Amino acid sequence: MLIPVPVESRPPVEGRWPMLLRDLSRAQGDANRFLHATVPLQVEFGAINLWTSAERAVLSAALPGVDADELDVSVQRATVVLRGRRRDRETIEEGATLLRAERAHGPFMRSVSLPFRVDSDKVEARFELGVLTLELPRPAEDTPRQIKITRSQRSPSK
Amino acid sequence: MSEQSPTRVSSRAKTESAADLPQLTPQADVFASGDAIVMLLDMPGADPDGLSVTLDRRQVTIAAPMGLSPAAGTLVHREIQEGRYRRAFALPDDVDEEHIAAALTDGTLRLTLPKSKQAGAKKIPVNLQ
Repeated sequence: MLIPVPVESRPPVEGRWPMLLRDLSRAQGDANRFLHATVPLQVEFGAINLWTSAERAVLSAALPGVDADELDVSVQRATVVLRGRRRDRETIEEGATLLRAERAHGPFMRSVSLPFRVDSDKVEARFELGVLTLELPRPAEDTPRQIKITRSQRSPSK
Repeated sequence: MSEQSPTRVSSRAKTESAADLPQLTPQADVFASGDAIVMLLDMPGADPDGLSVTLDRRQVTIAAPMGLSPAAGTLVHREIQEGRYRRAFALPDDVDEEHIAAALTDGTLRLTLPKSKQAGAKKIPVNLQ
């Protein structure tokens, strides 16, 4: 069992330790940056790109081999959920030998949080070449408004 | 975003030549049945006009450029890579080149490579001396 040590009674970090810890922390950051730059991000089925502007968000999802009828898109406030099922492996004749299986198969679900609320009634969706594109407009009352600044004459100093 | 941390977006200009485009490897399923080899390759966004399937001896090569339709705004999250799909497979059997079928449906390429009729076991006569 761990016995909590009161903060005041902890020995202060002294000598070369602070510098060594800082160097270690920096090395860890470097290693992470190196890994992120060289190892491609592994993404589950349904890779997503997201663009945002003041009026709308645009979401693209790579859903190759998914039948549009099997695709379910729901938008609620600032959350987009994509659900579906890929079953093109079932079209292969029975008794065929599987030599290589890299593709994800079966049901999938992806949920995306947008940086703002969108008008779910005005969402447009299209599915072309295995890429689903959603146009997600912000409600008119939510879009950022330019605030006009009026300059007032500075009151004369006494 | 919910699951992934935001990916850094490359600031490279859009004027890259085709040779500089990042190479994308489509994921594939390969099946062999009695009379054909069937391949399913995931190539979302592949340009159907630029798609090429070439057969050289026992190697089949699939290539296609891939680009998303440009969207207005700032790219804030990226998991889909743009570039050029390319993948080559060594085939286990002789293939009937005349009857290869390729169909691109919803971003999945389905390749059917029928085995050639002559590919069956051949009997080699042995001369006794």
